[in-house]
Amino acid sequence: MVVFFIFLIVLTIYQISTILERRKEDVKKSIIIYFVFLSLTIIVWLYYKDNFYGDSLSTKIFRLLNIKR
Amino acid sequence: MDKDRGMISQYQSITLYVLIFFSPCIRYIPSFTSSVAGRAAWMSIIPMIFIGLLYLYVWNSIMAKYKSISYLNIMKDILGSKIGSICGYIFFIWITIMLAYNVRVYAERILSTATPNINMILLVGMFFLVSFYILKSGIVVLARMSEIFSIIMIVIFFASCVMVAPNIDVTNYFPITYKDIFPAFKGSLGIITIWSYISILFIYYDKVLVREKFKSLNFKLYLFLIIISLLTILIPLGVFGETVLSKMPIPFLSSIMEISFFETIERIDAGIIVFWIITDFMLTALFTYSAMHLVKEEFEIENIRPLTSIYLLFVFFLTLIIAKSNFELTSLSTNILTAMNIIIGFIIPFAIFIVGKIRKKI
Repeated sequence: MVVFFIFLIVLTIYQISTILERRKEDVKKSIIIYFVFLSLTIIVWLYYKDNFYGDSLSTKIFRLLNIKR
Repeated sequence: MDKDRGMISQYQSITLYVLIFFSPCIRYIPSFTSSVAGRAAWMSIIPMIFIGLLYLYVWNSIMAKYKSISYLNIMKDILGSKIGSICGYIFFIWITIMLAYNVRVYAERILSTATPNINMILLVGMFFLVSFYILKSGIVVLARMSEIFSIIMIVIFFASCVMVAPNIDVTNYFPITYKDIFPAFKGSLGIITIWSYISILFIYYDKVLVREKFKSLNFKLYLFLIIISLLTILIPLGVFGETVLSKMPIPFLSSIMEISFFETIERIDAGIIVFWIITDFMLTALFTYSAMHLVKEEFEIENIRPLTSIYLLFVFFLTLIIAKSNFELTSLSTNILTAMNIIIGFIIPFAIFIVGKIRKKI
């Protein structure tokens, strides 16, 4: 977990510095989109960690939609 | 080839589609059509000939009016800015799910056929890493790769078909009765699902140089897809029969395993699977490029490269959580993704075409 977060922090710093080099109008939008993707990544990763031996995403969707396999 | 301008030709765009078509086609079309239509699975291609012609007409009409304009901008122009944007978000979610699904299927297939002892994280991670590296060079490099690989894949595909031919039992195709008409129609849904990937090509259509002869190229693509779709059903159905075929996860590759030269050279499937990985790789790279291009167009960002790495990391974890086994993947595909593909890849273009006609935009 610690290693993954260190990796994410390093990646974020690197990518944000790359974004800051771009033209001004793009910077704000790019940073917002980057953090949206980052949040999604963390959510999906936490799900992966918590449900390693549990249900997959498709199983949960089937249960939610009451689909019999 | 206009490399300096970062544009690709219409022909290259078509070779890209041909390449990404192979992988889902051999995996999904034979098993779906045979489970729905049984022995009449091969007849599912007949409705598809007419539906495909209609689909071709729709895309030709859109292309004639909107040359070298991205799909998002076409939607915004025809449906209006807000609905066009909503469609853009829907397309982005669709591509992301399909990307995760296809990579997971690839990993499951490799683990069950070629390398059973490799960790899936390693397999998927390597795939995304290579995709990320290739995508740094943009669509031009992908298009050039596709030009070469599409020819190799076509040769391998037809050579496989010829080599398997002696194992085909023609009685597996018959008898068929009038009661098979409706199942054959239902079976064509499986083919439509894979054809619907054509929509992906239009997402980066602003990067494609459209010449006047685009209609004849599109028609050739249509004929080619009909032949490939028919062969992917005929070969495994003829070798295994409907009962075995409908329960197979990778029927076409399984039929290739039956190839034998004078009972001395056998099991050449391992070599062929290696080439099939190329199609999966191209699919991953192209879907990622399309998703990123949608974000670029939607938010009007000049450079999207810094966002690709985090997007691929997100899809990497999505790939790991989307399903636990091949069984779940098949269920997901049959119950949810087929309908999703048809709606987004097939019905939406028709809806755009109809609205465009009403509003006199097309």
